[in-house]
Amino acid sequence: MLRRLVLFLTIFTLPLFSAELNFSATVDRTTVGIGETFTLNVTVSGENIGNVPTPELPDMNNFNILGRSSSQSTNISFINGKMSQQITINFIYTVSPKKTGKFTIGACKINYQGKTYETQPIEIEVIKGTTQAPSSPAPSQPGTTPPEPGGDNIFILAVPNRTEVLCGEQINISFYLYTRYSLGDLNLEKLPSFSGFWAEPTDDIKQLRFQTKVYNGKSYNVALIKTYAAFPITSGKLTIDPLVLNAEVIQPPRDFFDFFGTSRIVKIESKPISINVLPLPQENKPEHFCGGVGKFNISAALDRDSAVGGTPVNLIVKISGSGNIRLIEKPKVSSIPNLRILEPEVKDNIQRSGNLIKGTKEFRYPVIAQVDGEHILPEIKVAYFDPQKKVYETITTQRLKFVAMGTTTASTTTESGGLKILGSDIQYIKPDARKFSTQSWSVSGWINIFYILSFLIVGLALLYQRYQARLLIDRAYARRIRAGHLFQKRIKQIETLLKAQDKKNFYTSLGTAVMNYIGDRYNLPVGTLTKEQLKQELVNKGLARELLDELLKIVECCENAGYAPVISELYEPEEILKKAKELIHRL
Amino acid sequence: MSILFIILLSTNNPVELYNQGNEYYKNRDYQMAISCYEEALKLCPNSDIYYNLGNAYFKMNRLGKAMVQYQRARILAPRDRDIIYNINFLRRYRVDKTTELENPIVSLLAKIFHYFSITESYLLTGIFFFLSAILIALEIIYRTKYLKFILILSVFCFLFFIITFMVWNGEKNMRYCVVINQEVKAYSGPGEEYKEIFIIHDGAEAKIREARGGYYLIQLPGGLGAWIDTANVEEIFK
Repeated sequence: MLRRLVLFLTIFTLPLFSAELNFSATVDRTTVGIGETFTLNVTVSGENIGNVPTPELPDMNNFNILGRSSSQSTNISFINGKMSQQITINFIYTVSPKKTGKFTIGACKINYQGKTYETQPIEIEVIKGTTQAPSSPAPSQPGTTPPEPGGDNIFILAVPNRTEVLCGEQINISFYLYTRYSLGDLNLEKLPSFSGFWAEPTDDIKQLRFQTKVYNGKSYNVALIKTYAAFPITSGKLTIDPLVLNAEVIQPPRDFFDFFGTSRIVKIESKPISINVLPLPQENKPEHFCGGVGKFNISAALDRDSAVGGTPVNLIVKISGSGNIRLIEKPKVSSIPNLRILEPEVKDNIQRSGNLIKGTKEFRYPVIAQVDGEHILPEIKVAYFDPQKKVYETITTQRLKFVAMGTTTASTTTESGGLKILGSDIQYIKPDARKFSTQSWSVSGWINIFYILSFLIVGLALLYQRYQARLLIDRAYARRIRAGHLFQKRIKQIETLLKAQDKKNFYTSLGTAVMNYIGDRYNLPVGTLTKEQLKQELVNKGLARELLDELLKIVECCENAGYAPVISELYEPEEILKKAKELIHRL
Repeated sequence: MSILFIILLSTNNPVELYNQGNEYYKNRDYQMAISCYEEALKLCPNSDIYYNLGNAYFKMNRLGKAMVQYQRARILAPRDRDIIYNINFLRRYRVDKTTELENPIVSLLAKIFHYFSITESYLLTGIFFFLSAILIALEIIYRTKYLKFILILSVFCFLFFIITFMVWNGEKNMRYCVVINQEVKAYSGPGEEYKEIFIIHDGAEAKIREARGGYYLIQLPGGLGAWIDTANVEEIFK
């Protein structure tokens, strides 16, 4: 009687915490013949590790790196209700030496969460000829039979849907558990690491459903444990590692007292399977082949159709379909004048329907316009290989356009309103000239005249002000200053009298004019002084005696003439006027 | 080219040389246009010639050289919109864009005090000083209210022009320079053996702080300073 066992394989995805990394590098052999290849396996593993960058390889001057692939495997164990998720990423490099001798492969480096990890250096001896054929890997220990119970009664069978595929083509691998025992807990110890493949689990098995099947003439309970879709990355013979499972085997009770029977843990492994990966045909391989194998569509769009002020527009190229979607490389976008296309940001989204892997890979290229105007992004061509038709297919995006404004000048951004801006440039040259006005950077000196003149003017104004003030305060000074002016005024009147032949008035006026002048000039009260007193005062003031005599003579003459017209005939009026003017001038 | 040069040198008229340069410019022979304009400038410095020379350098993709010429043109003709447009265009076009945002008050003041050229401001300073002196003289003699008002206005004008002049003069003494080579390394000391501080590109503007042994200590608008070879920069006021 077979019992139907139910097993819960619970798969959790825990949030990714920062975790310690194990970082190591191994080679499959340390002695290689020249012309042979060996594999350098750089392994990054840790609990709950997130996105791990590609490790940095040391200088490999003495080696050629022929190929590179990577694989990721997750090992989930569920022990006593505690789940741990061990993630292992293998970066596999196929390396061939260039020359014979002993070489060292230096430390590989990786930067993860701010820490740098390094591997131990590896020594490689390169010899002439070939090394002995490496003993075929036998991880399943064919010589030693699994401990009792085991052997034929419980095993895991790995079944690929095909053993020969094209590089990049999908294969499905199913792992079945065959048992003739009753089973207790099952624990997946190790999931197969698909080195050389990109593998995606395609099952959502939460319960093992056992069915009865006959295999090699025996009846087994068979359950599907895990299925994978795998895409080979490199061509050649690739091996899929075994899946390791710890199974609790319950042995039926041997006697009455052994009521529940005994149980023991049995470790079972699947046999490694080898897959022959054929390279893609080289003939008719398009230049824009991007590594996709399957069936894909392409679409392109811009997130905005106008860019203002030099902000980037994102060109989003989406490749979707079924196949090795994650291995598709970024499409080449040819350089376009006046546009700067930056490195894309890549996102992928993998789904599956049944055993088929589908998904979308999105490339976001920031595009920066360097010139204003309408820009056209031409079609992007991408080629992939269709494994069913066995031909390369090319898919093309549509042409896109956008308008850039204000890339170089802020002013043009406002010039919208139906106006199409095609570009911007410097202003045009100045027109031809007939004559040049003189221009200079250095200032000319003649302007300093203004400063000299300014000081002169202010100085003069100050002097004038002082003079005005003195006129007000100093009476003698004021009289003296005005004396000449008044005399001139009077002379003018006298001259009119002379013209009118008014001799009497002429002589009296001339006399008073001269006397007033003397009075004003020397600040003397002329009317109250006698001739003698006047003479004395003037002599005291330092006036020449002869000059004084002559002056007084004129005055006397005028006075006499005023009263006695006869005497006046002694002096002609013109002569006496002339003499008076001359004398005053001499004063 | 040499024959043309002889023809060029045979004419000593800056106007003819300038018009000749314009002809070359229209035919896109910028190299020849540059030689014409430079000859003309030796004879008669003029803002239009500097401007056209700057344009010719720009068309040859010599941004730094073009910037030097535009700056010189601006000193002679500070109100010319074409010159200001091209300077701003170049500042956005060059590799090292001006990263600092200008304070609006500072830029407004800069605009006001660059409205009149250095010679204009010097002449107007003299005229307003003279006018103020006349008004002071009249004020001394007559003492009226209205005169005082005009005098204050005149003194303000004088102050405005003297500040304008001092701003220009300060710029002249500041030793502004422009990087004229594509990519120039700036070191922490006067020599290539010193540590590299930054790389500066064609058309970048800086001040010369110090000169020593064929090297200039330049200071960028942000305040960053380093030493570069004198061959890599051209001073605006030579």
